[in-house]
Amino acid sequence: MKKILLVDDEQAILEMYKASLGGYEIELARNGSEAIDKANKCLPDLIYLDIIMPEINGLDVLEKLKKNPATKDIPVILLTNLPKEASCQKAMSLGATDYLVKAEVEPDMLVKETERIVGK
Amino acid sequence: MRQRIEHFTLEMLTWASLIGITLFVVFLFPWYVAENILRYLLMIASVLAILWYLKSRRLFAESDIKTKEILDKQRQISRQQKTFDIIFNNAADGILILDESQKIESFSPGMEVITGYKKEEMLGRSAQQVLKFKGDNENSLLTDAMFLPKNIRKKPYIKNTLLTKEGREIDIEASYSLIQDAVTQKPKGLAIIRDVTYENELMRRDKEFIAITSHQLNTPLSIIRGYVSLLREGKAGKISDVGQKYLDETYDSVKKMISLTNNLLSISRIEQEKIKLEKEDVNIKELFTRIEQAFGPAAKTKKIALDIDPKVDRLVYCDGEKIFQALSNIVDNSIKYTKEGSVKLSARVSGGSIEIKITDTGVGIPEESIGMIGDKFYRTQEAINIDNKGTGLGMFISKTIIEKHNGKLSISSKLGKGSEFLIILPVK
Repeated sequence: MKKILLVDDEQAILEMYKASLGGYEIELARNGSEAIDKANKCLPDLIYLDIIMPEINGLDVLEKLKKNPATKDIPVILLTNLPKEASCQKAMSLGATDYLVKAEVEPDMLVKETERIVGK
Repeated sequence: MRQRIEHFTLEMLTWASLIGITLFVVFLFPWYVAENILRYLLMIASVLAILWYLKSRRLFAESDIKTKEILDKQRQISRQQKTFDIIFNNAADGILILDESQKIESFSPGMEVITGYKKEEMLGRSAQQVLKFKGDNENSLLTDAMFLPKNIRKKPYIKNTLLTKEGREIDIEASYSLIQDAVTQKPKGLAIIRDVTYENELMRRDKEFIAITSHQLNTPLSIIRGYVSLLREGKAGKISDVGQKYLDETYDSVKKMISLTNNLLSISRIEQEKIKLEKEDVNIKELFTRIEQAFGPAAKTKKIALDIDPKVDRLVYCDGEKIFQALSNIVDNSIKYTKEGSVKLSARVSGGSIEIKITDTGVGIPEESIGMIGDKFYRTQEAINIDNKGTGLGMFISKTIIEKHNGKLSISSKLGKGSEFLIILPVK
């Protein structure tokens, strides 16, 4: 079963995405440090990463993951409330696979995006 | 006075002539004839004397009236001058007058407060050299504008950031006029300058408040929409028909709220000029396909034909996401305000531009309202009659995005027949 790591400081969001992504093994992380730890330990097939989080923000997490040989090839999709013009360019330059705005993404779209990247 | 001398000279000449005629009669005729002639002459002289007296009184009276009028006018001018001085010296807004060579002729105390410069150090100096604006090429903007004839002015005021004597930046609004010197008839520039730094700061805070509020609203709204979606899909067990209906209503309302907060966020970013275009080569065909995917179902539900010209296959250097947003807002409106018929999307290349046309058979726009479409929050009564929940923000966003691309949005419409939206964008 494909493994997905969901990173967000909002528990309700994590639970909602977890419920949407039925058929996948889901790991959850509530902050940037936890995300880096879990990414290294469970080596997921895909990471959904929020940007605004306490301590280490999503862009810094992305940079660290892409610099680490063990995690650099894991596709990372930014899933945030920040509009694209705010951080999309930077995220893509750091090696993000895609940039999605939460307000535009409904659960079924998240499923389609996941299938597109890692398959069913 | 000159008039009085002329009048007196004329009268003297008249009397001299009468004396001359008397002497002429006395010497030329025998006394008994002369006596009769002189009697008649005396009668004529008496009549003339009475007429002269009456005429003089009238002339003097007229002259007095004229003198009084002149004095009144002088007093009026003096009063106006004093009123002008009071306004000039006490107006909180700055008053600046430049002579024809754009040198400072008048610099009001209001200007001293706004700029920090004293009148004495400004009079007679070139306005362009002493009044500094933020930006390298901005110094001549105000002076050039002041000397523009009214008929070729683009707008009656300018907004800019002025640097004070101490180097502080202040936001100003200046209204200006081209005037004529009352004596020399030479052109002069007049500007009324207002410090709007505080107002701009308040507006900036308002916009920031809207941006933060919209942004903070997006997270809980996304969560509500997400969980409602899961419930509708049956991920939490079977829902009764009534429950499904309630969930559908909740879902639609949340979607509207998300759309509204997103629009407010877009506007806030546009107004704070935080919006950046990420331009790349975008195929118009792909944008049209996305429009078809996004709006095809809504058109089908309303039984309206959504005709999209499949022939267009052209790369345009633009921010694809933003142009998609601009097109989406227009197509969404066209579908919303069309009861039957069609919404057509076509494009053609003309010179260095691409022309995208959206034509609908909807309610149309009254002629007097066409110019206001694209103003923030503006909605026609016809639109409100059909959907009273709209915000009037979509067309404003579309117009702004198109203009940011150096493009143009023009609208033609016939009430009850339909509308045509023409977007012209530079290809490169």
